[in-house]
Amino acid sequence: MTEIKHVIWTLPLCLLLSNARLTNYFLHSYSGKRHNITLSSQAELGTENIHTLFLNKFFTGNYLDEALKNSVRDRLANYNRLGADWISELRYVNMNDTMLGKNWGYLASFKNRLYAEGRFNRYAFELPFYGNAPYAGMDLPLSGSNGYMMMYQQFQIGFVKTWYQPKSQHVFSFGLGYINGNQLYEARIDSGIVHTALDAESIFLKLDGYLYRNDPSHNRFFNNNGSGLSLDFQYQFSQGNHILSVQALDIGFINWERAGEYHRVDSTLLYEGVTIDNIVTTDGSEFTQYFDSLNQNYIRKETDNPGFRMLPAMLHISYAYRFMDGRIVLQTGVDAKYSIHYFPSMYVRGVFYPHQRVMLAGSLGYGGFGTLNIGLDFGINFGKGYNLTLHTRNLEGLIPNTFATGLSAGFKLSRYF
Amino acid sequence: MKKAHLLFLISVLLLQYACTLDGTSWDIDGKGPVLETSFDLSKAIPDQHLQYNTDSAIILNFYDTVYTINLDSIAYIPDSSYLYNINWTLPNFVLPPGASLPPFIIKLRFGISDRLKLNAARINRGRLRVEIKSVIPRNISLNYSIPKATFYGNPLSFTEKISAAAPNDTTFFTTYINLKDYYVDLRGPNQNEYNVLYIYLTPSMDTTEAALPLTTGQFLFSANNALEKINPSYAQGYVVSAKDSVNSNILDLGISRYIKSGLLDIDSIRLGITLNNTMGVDMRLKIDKLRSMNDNTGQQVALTHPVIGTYINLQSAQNTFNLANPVIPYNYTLWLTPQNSNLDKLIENIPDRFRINALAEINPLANATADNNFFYTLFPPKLIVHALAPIKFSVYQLLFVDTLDNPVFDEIQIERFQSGEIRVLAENKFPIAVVLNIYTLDDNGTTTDTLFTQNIVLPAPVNASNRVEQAVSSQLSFPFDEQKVLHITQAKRILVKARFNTIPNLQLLQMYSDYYLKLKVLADVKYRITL
Repeated sequence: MTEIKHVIWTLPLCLLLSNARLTNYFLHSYSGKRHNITLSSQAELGTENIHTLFLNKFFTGNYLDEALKNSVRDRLANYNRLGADWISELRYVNMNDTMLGKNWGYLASFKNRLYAEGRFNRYAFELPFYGNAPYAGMDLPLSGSNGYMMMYQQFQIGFVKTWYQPKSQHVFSFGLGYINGNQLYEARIDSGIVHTALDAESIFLKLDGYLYRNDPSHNRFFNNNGSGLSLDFQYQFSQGNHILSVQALDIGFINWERAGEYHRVDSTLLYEGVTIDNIVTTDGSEFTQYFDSLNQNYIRKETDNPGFRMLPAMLHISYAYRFMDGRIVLQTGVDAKYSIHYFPSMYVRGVFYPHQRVMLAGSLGYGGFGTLNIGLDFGINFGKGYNLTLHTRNLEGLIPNTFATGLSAGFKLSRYF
Repeated sequence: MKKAHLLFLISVLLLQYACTLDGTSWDIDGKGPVLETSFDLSKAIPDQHLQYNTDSAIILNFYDTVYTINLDSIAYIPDSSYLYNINWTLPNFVLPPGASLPPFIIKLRFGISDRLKLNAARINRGRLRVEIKSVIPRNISLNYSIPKATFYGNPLSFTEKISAAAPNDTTFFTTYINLKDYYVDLRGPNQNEYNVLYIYLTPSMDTTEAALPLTTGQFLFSANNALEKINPSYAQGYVVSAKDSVNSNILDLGISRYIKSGLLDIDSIRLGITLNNTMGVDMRLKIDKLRSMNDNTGQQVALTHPVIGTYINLQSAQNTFNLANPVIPYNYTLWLTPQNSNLDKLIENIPDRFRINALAEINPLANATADNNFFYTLFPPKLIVHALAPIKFSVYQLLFVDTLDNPVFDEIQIERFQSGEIRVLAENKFPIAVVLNIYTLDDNGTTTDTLFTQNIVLPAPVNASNRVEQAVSSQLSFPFDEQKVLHITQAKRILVKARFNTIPNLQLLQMYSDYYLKLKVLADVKYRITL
């Protein structure tokens, strides 16, 4: 045991956390600790095309000038991905093996996750941001745009088993969670064309798609619109300075059983102006009536429940190697999500401890909702079991005119005792 | 843990504070149709007033009641109440149990105008409120009756029990009688009065009561009878003879508020004015002067016609007494034609109003019907106009002007329109040219901007028969920039000027049913979207 004691921690490096790629730094300071409570939150946002400056201006109430819009348009492909994931969690881990038996531990957590992803046709961007005039005379295709946003709360309990062998350590945990399906929005355009006549005398619109949202009177935080189950599996193998970990998180589903609102469109419309029957007697109400009739005749409102939806599960595999007695750790890994819009992200990370209580890490990756990922972590050990980590996986969005949006930020506040 | 919670809370708040879509904005270039409409004469004149010749020429055939005399106001019976104190006026007397007193008689006078002496009426609606206050210290029965008020032959009568009054106290009751469909004879018991009804109140003592001593002058009870909201459907009597001068505007059109200048020439018009007398009253009317008055130019044109200065006798209508169709009216029709009058000059004066100076006489032969004048309020006298004219006219430099409160309301959010052009495509099959100008006015009425740069709707050309065969297209254009939008936003009012010319000028042109004006408004604008 003595030759590898420096890697035998009661708590594992990459495991028992809510989010893939989170890491328990400073474990070397807490080798005898068996209890951990962690509050963490991480938000990430990524697209290949809509860059950070645009999003920053958009979400902070600014004017989006032509140059800014053009800089996004120049990056657009025919179809474009985007996604966001915000996970916040409070987790307690107890590795006191006197409670469940030797080398057994348990955990309990509450997690809130807001996840959104989708893809959009380039004209789904250009039409709302440039208007229809530049495309007069063209058939503007809108098909192939879709997306969804879901928010759920997860209440999880799990168990951890550690096997100590002479030269290695295995940690396996699994967790079972109840999912409170809180909010679900879905939008989809299967086919669509907009054609504005060159002389502006008509606008032709063909649209086949739908928009779904939960009952708007029942979508406050914690409101239940569906229920589900989730499973987490996590495994870590360490031997010497080698650490291999595998995480599969949020494998599960939600049955969105409470009915919400579907707004379906499957129509063609040739708009040639609002018809005023009698210009002598009109009071202008024809405009209101016309747009009311659009709602009635073209948008089919249905009340239905969307049924089962899989959770955006996360898979993370990583390998770490400790150098210089643990003062430097090199890590590489790949993470993926149950999503057609999230490309598996491969990364390498270097962790450096310039002081026993200070950690700096940098990472470089490729994939996710965007392309290149540049990350930075900073951690500090306050003593008495407290440590704080501030981290980002995506700084590339801050580099102007190079990459599209990739922004993330998070913190992790832990106490070991 | 408290620190951890605080940190989490601060993070969430910072994120929420930092993110806001409020104020996010961008410009788009929008292009498309706004509205389309078409105009033909059937849109301006209801179809029942138009007729079409075989060559589709349009004839105005207007026939409608333009004025109805409201007989409700003539037969108005104001609400009134009449309080009577009933005293024992005979010598002292002891009323034995079960005996009745002689009836007390109350005269109820209808508060009608002195010019109406009614001897009968049928009530359309209204009620009689009866309040009795008694000091009689015995239980009595009070019979209330109006023999001359009958409901399909049955006189109005009812009996009410009134409890004995305690010493120095009163007992009372109130009841309402719905008088709808009551026929009232207003001539009194001797058939020699008018506008009156007699009420008979007969108290009788219960058989179980002790005898009641009555002393001369003793107050017994009071009766308050109130007529409320009485309106007759029929009235008969005598409408007192009268002569009234009529000096008033009979049609207030106010056209010169809109038509400021120009010439109007119309083709032959025939105008029939029918006086429909449904009242059983002889009347006659002498029109001394009927003038068409244009307040803008000050021009007055007096009607020349043989009827001017002569009496028009409006004989009495006949009473059939059949409730379904009770009146055979007397109709007098006066036809004004180009041959017997200068009617076209009155119209071409573009009148704001017609003013009449006349003498109206009611019952000029006094009470010739022996109190048998009558009227049914549901069949009032009417003034009916029948106009027959081909819609054939010429206008020259006819200027229509109107000032509107700025119709651009907040919901349109016009300030979001940055620049662009509104185009109006006009397809015109009328042989009429229109020059349209719209101006913005500030608080002082000063013009701040003009909207249209191209502003002419071209007239459709006529052939040798003065008939349009093909419509003509033209385009009106309203380009705007931020400055113009600002002027529109700040404008207190909008001034609309439209100048009309029939082409060829000064030539009467017949309008046909296939003439139309189609308008389509198109927009090509830079618009600011603001979240």
